Amino acid sequence: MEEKESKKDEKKSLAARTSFREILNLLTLTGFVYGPLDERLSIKEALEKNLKKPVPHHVNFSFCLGGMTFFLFLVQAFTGVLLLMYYRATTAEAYKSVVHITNNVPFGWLFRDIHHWASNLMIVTVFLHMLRVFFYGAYKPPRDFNWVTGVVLLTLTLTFGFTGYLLPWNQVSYWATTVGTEVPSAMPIFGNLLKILIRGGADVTQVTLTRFFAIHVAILPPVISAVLGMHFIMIRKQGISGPL
Amino acid sequence: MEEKAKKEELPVLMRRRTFLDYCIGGGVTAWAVLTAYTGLAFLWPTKSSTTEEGSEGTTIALSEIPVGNASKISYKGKPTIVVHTQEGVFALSAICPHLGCLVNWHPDEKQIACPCHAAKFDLRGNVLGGPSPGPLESYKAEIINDQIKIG
Repeated sequence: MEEKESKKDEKKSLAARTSFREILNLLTLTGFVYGPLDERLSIKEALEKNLKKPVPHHVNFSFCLGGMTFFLFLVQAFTGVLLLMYYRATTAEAYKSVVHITNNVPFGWLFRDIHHWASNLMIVTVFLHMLRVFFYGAYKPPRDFNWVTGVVLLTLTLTFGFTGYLLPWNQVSYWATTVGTEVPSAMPIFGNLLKILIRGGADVTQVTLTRFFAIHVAILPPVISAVLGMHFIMIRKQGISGPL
Repeated sequence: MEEKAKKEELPVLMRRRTFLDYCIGGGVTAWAVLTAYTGLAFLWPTKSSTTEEGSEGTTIALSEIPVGNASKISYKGKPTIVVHTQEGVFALSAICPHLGCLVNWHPDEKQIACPCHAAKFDLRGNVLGGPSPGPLESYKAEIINDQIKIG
């Protein structure tokens, strides 16, 4: 009799452990999303359809370059928001605040370096992604409009890089912007007007810094997010392009 | 024979898939914790802007506050108002006990008043009028040579 009862206790403890595991399981994403959230929104089927979508056999590593670019974009958004907390966009304070971020703010060096390197890497991956699409002929109809949004995204990414380069307001960024904004002045008729419009004056000044800062942190992020949305919706709609 | 039976009785503690799920979950959690930690450390105000200086007193030059005037300084990391009158120097917390605005010295009325809701205090911090629920905290202040020493 006594033996039986002790056995019962053992079983109970096992059951208790199992329910503990169920609680743990609920804390995981699938546990919650497929559990209480699915009961209310019937989200499971749609999610599984997207997550377990079979990938064609010809898909290789080069098909990941677009996704890598998007990942780097998210990294840029995160580190950029953090840098924005300390950066001051004035000619007197910009360089000081960047030095302050690098030397005094905890992990400031880390987030600034990540922002710097991820931006360079993003240019690399976006170009490699474009080359992949080109050599696979994935730009051909019906995907030609997605090539167009891709070119827009390339331009936006380069504009991000160009405007961000000025923000530390050091010698290299000042002169790079001077040279870079000089480029459109080579165009006949509109060239000089365009240069003055970009610089906000004849020279690279505080106005230019404010302009580039506004473009970099306020204008480009929502614009690129919208175009990224179009880019991705078209990919989902049209599927992955065929083999070589 | 007995051993085999025992083996069968062993409860399945964890399936391989569950174990891998936990590994992935643990990895993601570790990543999230590290990111949150570095992010919060980055955002946390640096020492220079939050320092609560030691308990030893603060001194300011007497010449900085002419008779009849007042000045706001940071004492023990908190805004403090120092008033210099003919009766001597007075140091009080500048934070109004009503809703936390910074009080000002009004030389004409010879009282301290809060700009937000007109709470009024005398030089020892006592409430003279207005909505303040309590007096301003008053600190020891004295003139030593050409310096005003607080605390």
